[in-house]
Amino acid sequence: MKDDQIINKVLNGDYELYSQLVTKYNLDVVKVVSAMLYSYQEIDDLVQKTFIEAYNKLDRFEAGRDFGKWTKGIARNMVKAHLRTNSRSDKHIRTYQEWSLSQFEGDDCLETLQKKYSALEQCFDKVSESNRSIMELKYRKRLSIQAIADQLNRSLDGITKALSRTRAELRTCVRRNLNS
Amino acid sequence: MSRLLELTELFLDHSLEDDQKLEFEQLYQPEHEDFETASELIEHDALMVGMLSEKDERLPQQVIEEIKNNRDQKNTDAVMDYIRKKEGDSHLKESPVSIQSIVYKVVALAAFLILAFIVPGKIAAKGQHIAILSHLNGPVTIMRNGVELDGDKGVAIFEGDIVRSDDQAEITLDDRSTVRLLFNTEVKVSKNKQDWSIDLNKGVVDLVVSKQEGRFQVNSPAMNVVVVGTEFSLDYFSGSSHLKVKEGHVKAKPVTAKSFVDVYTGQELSCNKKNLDYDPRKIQKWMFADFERSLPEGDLYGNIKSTKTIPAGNMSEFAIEAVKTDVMGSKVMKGVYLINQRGIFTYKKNQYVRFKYWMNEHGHWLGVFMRSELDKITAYGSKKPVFGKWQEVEFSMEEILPKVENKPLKYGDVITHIHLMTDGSNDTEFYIDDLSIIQK
Repeated sequence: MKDDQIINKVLNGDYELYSQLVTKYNLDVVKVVSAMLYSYQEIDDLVQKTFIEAYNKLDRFEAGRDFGKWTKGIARNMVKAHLRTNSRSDKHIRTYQEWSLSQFEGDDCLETLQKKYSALEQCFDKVSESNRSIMELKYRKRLSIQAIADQLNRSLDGITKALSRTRAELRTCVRRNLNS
Repeated sequence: MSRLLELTELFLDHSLEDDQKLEFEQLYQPEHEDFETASELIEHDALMVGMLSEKDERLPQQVIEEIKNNRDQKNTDAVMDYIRKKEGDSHLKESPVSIQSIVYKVVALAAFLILAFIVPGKIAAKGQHIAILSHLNGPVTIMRNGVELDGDKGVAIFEGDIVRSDDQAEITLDDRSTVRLLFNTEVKVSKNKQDWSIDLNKGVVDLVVSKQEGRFQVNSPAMNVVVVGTEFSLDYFSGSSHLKVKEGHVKAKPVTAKSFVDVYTGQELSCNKKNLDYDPRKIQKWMFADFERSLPEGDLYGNIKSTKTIPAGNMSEFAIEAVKTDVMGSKVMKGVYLINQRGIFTYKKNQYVRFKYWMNEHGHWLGVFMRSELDKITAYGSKKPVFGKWQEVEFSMEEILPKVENKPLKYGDVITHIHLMTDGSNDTEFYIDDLSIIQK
């Protein structure tokens, strides 16, 4: 079923169908929220709030528009509102979040973010298998460096260096891709 | 590389020492010449999290549940207020007649009529209420004429209403009988003249039935039970039903059988739709809910003891003696374990675990372990115990924390295991009673 059809049915009372849109755009919203927040604990909460806010505003959604893009816009605004009213984070995280807010001001900020993600995905494909595993344990499974070292039976120092090296490689690659 | 960028790298590795963290906070400011670069390094890390995040499979359901909770709240409140004032609470509290109450009723009636006009024939219930929702812990929904309403304490239940509990709820019928709904349970309540009919669609009900003038029947898709004034529980899962009579006498049969059999105090009966071999037998295994009546049943590892035979001071009839031991690292622990793979309760904000305990001085700490099997998360909290007397204790769920490398429990996680523990040895005596999950 197409997004417009689902939305039409949801607006006519079949609200459980909305779960299909949540499933489809879950990761798109996570990407926006993660980039702005840099705080694991708050990401899940904000993603859920974004989808509920989108549901509450669904009657204002214009048929034919891109629902994913519209929801990402809502996510951006939700994170902004959250950061303005919430200062629980550490000082340096807060400083990053304020910088991040300034990056999400223009109309094209979501497109810019998408370009960064695309570049990162392309570069990540080029990372060696062993370093990919380390990165996945760190960022996908959100394990501590010690836990990664234990799991892979490697030294703490070895994992730290591998992570640092891979991050540097990725950054160089992303910068090159974006500039080209 | 500047000092700020060095510290940023250490920050991304989570290896900043306390003094370095302070230095990083001081240097990481917009005025610093490398501020933009440092921010980009952090952003890159944030993008890695976004790119590699896994799809949260439970999110769609969590969003739908939240929507369900919020949905039609405003309209429902107005209608429910009207029903409660006009019909529902007459036997609970009599309000003196006042100008305010008359004005209120007129306004409520107007609200009701407007809503009834907007949603013709959908929410409005016909006739007198037959029961009220007397207790709830967690969300309860009432399906009335195809419209889903949020349940609230004191709300009236009408003929044909379907009541659904996420955690626990209690319905008091107008003859004072009670029907307790446990975790994820759904019942339809009907009354025809003096005859009651409770249809259990799924889950577990625990009933205390008053002496009846008419017939009182409880039906699951697998079993029919006719009640003769008694206390019993009935569950229905995956095509089968299980009946346990705690006190009194019922008659029961599989739905497809012709004749009923008598089931008396201390007896149980299991059957599915097709099972015609349905002899009652002595209850083999008492479950948690059978004596606590505050939690859904699960597998309980602990001895149920009469309080006449264990340390005095508790008013309950029964408590649980910790017998199961477990080894964690070099420590042997002794505890009461409650396990239900379908889920004991759902973790929500402002939730507390409350129970009474008695332990002798051979235990050195009091621990609560929780596990969400689905998410493979184990979390625990502990307190210093009081020895040699019954003591009530409360743990905020926020105090139940995971091991360092694990993700914390999140609202919406289904808790499948509760372990209440202390140090274990042959000399450790440890008893538990009145375990409940409290929503504040």
